[in-house]
Amino acid sequence: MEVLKVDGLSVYFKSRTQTVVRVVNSVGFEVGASEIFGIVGESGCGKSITAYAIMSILPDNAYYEGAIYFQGQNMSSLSDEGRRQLRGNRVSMIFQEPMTSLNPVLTIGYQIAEVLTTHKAVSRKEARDRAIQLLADVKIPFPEVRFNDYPHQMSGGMRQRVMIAMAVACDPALVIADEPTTALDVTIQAQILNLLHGIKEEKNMSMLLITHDLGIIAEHTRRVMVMYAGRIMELATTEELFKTPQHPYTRGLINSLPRGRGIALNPIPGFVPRPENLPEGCKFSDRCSLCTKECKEAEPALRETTTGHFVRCIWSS
Amino acid sequence: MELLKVNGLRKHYTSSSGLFKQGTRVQAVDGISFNIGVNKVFALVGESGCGKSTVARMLVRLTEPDGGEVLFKGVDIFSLRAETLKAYRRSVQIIFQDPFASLNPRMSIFSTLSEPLRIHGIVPKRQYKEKVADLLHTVGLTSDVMNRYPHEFSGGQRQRICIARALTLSPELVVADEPLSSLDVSIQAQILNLLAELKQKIGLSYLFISHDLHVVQYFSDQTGVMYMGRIVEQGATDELFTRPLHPYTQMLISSVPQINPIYRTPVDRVHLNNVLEEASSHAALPSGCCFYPRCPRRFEPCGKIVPTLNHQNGRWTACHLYAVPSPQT
Repeated sequence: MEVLKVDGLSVYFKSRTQTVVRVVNSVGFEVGASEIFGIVGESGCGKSITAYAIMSILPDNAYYEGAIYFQGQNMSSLSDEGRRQLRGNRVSMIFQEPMTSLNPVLTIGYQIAEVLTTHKAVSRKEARDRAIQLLADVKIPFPEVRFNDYPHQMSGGMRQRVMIAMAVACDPALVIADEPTTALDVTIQAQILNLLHGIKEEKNMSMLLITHDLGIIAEHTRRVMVMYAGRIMELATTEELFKTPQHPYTRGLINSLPRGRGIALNPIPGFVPRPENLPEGCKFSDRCSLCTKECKEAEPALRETTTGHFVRCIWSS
Repeated sequence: MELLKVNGLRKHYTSSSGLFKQGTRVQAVDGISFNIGVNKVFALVGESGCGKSTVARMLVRLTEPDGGEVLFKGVDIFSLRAETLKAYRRSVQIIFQDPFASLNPRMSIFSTLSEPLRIHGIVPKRQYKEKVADLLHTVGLTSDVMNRYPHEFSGGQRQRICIARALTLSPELVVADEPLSSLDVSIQAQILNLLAELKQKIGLSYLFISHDLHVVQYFSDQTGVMYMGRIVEQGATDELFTRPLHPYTQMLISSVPQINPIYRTPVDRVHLNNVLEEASSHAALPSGCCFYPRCPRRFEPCGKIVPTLNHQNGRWTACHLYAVPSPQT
């Protein structure tokens, strides 16, 4: 059975003037057992907000419609306390910027042990031993010594390792990693992704990996969905997406990447529209080279073109 | 012909860590040298803190060096004063990373772009409008945007405005310090195309600073790889990427996630588990090679002797693996 099922998820934000903006629009997908599922898209496409909705950590002025099933259980049927017991325990999250998500005035050891004492019936001593083991698992050298470090004493890569240790402390069924390596240098990024991949295998977890980097998607995910303007534009296995990308936006993203000297870049014209200012019909129509009158009239539905390959474009076959 | 020659450039900062503690000396740039040819792109790549932005700032004289020289058309730029310095500023311009921080929010696009014209007295005042409209067209914007303010534009459009501002004085060299890294993927390609077009059309040269190896490989002619304030490898871009010699360059290239499986290097992913010394900082610079603690191919002399840059077939490498044997041995 799938670990996570998201069905018809829409997220709305209320502004101060009480106007409501829909930033995620009828998004549905499933994450299978021990699968790495990727979400890729540019800033403002709704990929992080989707994750926040799953974690029930949307800001106060936002709400969602649709259903989120975690291991078959509808999240909205749970009480606040029930959701709190899931978070950090059965489903956990790794954020982009480890410095802002760790508490600067507590030692990293305390913060990892806190996850365990909150969710598991363990003594402080047991939590401490377990936290040191976790630090060793994420390959932090001298874990007994680093246990007493404060976040500012560590490098960015080390802090992200601490975040991973906290996220996997209770052996969750699902880890959501939201741009986990964007703030890191490329050699450290490779190490962290390699570590995440290894821990995922070891603990047999599922992972939702959110990134803007197509290279990371290609190397680390099994299935992927491409988001634009709060919608799914394309969803397929990673292999198929890169072999036969069908949506003009997906192709545009791939063609925007430099592939070597002398190979011309074909960027997507225009810029990402604001959620309160989307074009009529297909939301990509104003930047699309294949756009016709039909595209401007009605928004195309997400259609399954071959088994497991979904595309939101009238031109896909 | 060389437009710019950098020789043994140095800069250190002193950081004071407490009231009574002795400040620690951080060698941000430690004797680097390179040349930029006319209408060529020289790229500096490296990870955060390697000193690449400090080099950029010194070249436009926003930061004064502690040693070394920079010759622009044969003249040392640090000896320039008043009028000659003003002339130099016309020839060399800079584009910064963050177009949200580098435009004055209270100035309209017209005043931002006409200010350099006024200061340098390039054209008479009545021609400002025409000149600004020209600049906006050059960077792919329409002239009706000139009465608007920075907050009305997206990141990509702002970066175009920053490029227009850099072009106002018809420079010969543009220092681009991570010009793409705050932009979305689809916009990065637009800006990169614009920079390439300007190189071709008006014969610009660039010092291009980036941590994105795909972009550097695509855009630059010569590349220098920096690590902890030193250039560890330097050469023609194509050569350097197809046959990297220095272990750090090899590590950098193999770390980049690739879409196409055939480009994925079957690494020697030794470094992936070699996290031990990741945190080594400038302040605790090891004796010997600065990369020694992280190097998968370190051997006996690496921890003791600082490797010098050796030249072989157009490639400079600072690594004991490629050291030319000294004449005595």
